[in-house]
Amino acid sequence: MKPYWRYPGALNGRIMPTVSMALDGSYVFCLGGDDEEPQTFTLSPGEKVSVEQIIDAGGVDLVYFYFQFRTGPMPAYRMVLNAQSAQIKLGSLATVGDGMVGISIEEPSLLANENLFVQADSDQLAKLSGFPTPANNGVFRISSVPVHDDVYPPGRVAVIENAAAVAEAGPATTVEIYGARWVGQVYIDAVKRVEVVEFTDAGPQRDLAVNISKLVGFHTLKYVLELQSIVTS
Amino acid sequence: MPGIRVPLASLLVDHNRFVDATTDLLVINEIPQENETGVPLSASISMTAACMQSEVITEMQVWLADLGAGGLLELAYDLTGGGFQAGYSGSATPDASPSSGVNDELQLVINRALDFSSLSNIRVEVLAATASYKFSGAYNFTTEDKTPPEILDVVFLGPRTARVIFSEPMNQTSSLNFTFADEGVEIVDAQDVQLMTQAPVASWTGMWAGLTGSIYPSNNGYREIIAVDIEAKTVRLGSSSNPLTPDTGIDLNDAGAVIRDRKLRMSISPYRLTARLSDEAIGLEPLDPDTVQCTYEPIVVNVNAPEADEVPAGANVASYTVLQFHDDVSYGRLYTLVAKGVIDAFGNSSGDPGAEFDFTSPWFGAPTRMMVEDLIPDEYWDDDMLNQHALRSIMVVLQDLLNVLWNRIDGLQYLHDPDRCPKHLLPHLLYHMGCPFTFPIETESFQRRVANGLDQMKRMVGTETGIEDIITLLLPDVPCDVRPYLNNVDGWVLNESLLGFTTILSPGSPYYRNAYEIVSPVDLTDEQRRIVVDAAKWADPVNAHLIRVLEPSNAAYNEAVVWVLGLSALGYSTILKQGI
Repeated sequence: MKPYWRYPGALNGRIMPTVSMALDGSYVFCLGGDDEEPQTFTLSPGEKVSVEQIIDAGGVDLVYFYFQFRTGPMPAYRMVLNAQSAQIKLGSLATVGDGMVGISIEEPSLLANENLFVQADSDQLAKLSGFPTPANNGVFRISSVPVHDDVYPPGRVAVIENAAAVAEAGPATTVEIYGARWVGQVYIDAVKRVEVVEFTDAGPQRDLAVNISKLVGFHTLKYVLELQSIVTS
Repeated sequence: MPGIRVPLASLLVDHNRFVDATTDLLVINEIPQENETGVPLSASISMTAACMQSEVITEMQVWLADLGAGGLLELAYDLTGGGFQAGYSGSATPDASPSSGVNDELQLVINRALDFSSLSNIRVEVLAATASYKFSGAYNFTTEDKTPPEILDVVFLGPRTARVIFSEPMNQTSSLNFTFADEGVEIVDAQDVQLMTQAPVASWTGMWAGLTGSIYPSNNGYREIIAVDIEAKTVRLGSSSNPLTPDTGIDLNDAGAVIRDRKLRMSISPYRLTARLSDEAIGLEPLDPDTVQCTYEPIVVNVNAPEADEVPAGANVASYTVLQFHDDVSYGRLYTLVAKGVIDAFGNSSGDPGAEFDFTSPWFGAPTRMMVEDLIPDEYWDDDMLNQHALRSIMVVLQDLLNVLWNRIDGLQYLHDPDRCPKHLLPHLLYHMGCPFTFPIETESFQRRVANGLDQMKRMVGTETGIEDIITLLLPDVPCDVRPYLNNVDGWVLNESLLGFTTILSPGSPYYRNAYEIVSPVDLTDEQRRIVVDAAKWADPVNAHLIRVLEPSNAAYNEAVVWVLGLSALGYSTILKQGI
């Protein structure tokens, strides 16, 4: 959000959007960033940003508000390996002595490299399960997907950030890449009333509402933008 | 949970409005909302029925209609009638608004089993009720395809021709985008290619350039176009890892005299055929048949749309593209076809790196008389597969060449077989068979149909049924009728003479007696009319002649087919017509 000091009063906390159209008038509250090309950040699923205000609900039935959502290309959920052979390797992932720690897919029945690790998996989350050692199972960040065409076809190995990893083979390992999505939510007094997920680059301007017909007095209306993991297909 | 790198979203929110509802039961938060456009084909439909009084939602029905496809309303959800209907799923969640105490809201999310079609105007009608209140409302939204095109299949019609099937109709300006600089090019340095006459266009940037004809093998093949210089007529290719070797196409002898003038040629298209590596030596037995790779990548030398009769009945021709390659693909090898930046009919691009399709090239009926690698002792083969693969590479090249050679030799026996004759030899087969027609016989399927039917056609000449059957063989969709020409209105009526006779000036009765006409049930295109006339004139008896072709739009199409013989001495007018 832009600095609060700029327009105290009615414009407090609001910006004049440069990419999207103002919803009504010239100024809007902006959760996230209003950039031509969305900036990329390292964020943890569950992180959120919000803005809230106190409303007087007496004598009205509905509170309407305009909502407009823009999202960049987000990672999709993907099952890489389903109960098949993989190994955790320490220090010799792609080739001997390369110093990398990570997972190597050893499944002989996989002939092609599609749907295994791809470059876009770097800096995303992978859920490993099925390894005999519990420390090797869990949700870990992928640091990189090395490409060594001469040694290994691309897509077979990924560097995993797991300090407690133990070198071992997993004959029935499952590897999933988590997806992610941005969700817009509206709360009344900490109770979620509306949730919007947009999968298009720029969603339309939506005129949404919350039913406050049974409320009287002052209450808190909160708008939230939250990053969520997608953990199933 | 660890952090991930994602683009930051933007959520704009503003303009709170406090509204006193005019009805006690209404539907809010419709997504897609009224008059929304560009709704994805797979979009869910969500809404919330909300009661402003403290009453439970007891009834709710949602009906959907695709106004562009007939507009019949279809029940998608019925709260009291089984919930989600066949073909629909989703969630229906009763909820209580703040401080309500009863479920005065029903949040509904409807998923349709089948995607909507693009650019459909969808109407949603909603009925809801509580014990005391009822709601009825409707709204429309418009869907639009947002899905990039995919390659569904690559069907090889021959070793040099492949039909690409896209998942949806394509913008043919992009999918058929192709230029072939076959007047010659020169490789001037490690990255630049000089065109001789043609000027490059800016839109070539990002497409694939296929080079062929260079004396340096590493020059031939595909590279990405990274820039064009329109004034200098040069194209810069992305070849940093595989630089070009300058080649003018002119070979000189030691004395500096020209001994050969080769023609380097370059094609530009969104398509690239790439060899696909197998996972050889990764956990596979070295002699596993999957441990092979393509070695040859013929370049695209033509891109065109198929004719309507070359795709399955009912298929959309715009979903198909036919690629011609300058040489045979390797038989039975692993390939990937890439289509970069092609755009579907709804404006969605396949992007970069583009739509990809992995396939194994067919054997084209080639006999595998001998697998060259079988000649190598296993221990040498194992050692090679686990190391440099040099021996394997030589074996693959030899095997590919032998396969192509065997296939071509074996194809000679089919030169006179209309169904199996190689496509490029079909015109020669028709000439050899004495094809008498002068209309264009351009498409492969038409050429094969004519070649198949020519003997039968020759046996049928000279009869009415024969002419009809020949036209049916040539134009299966146009069952024409051949009949005698029974109308004499084409003469000049000179009126009554001094002797009391009415004279009709016309070509004379023998002319009409030997005339016939062809009646088509549909209006013919110029090409079809030429085929009908050409075939009829060749097949009719020597003394007969075609006088006209009648089509529904022709004014004479519905005329009575009679001869009016005029008033007789007895005062009767006689009409001569065909008996039943």
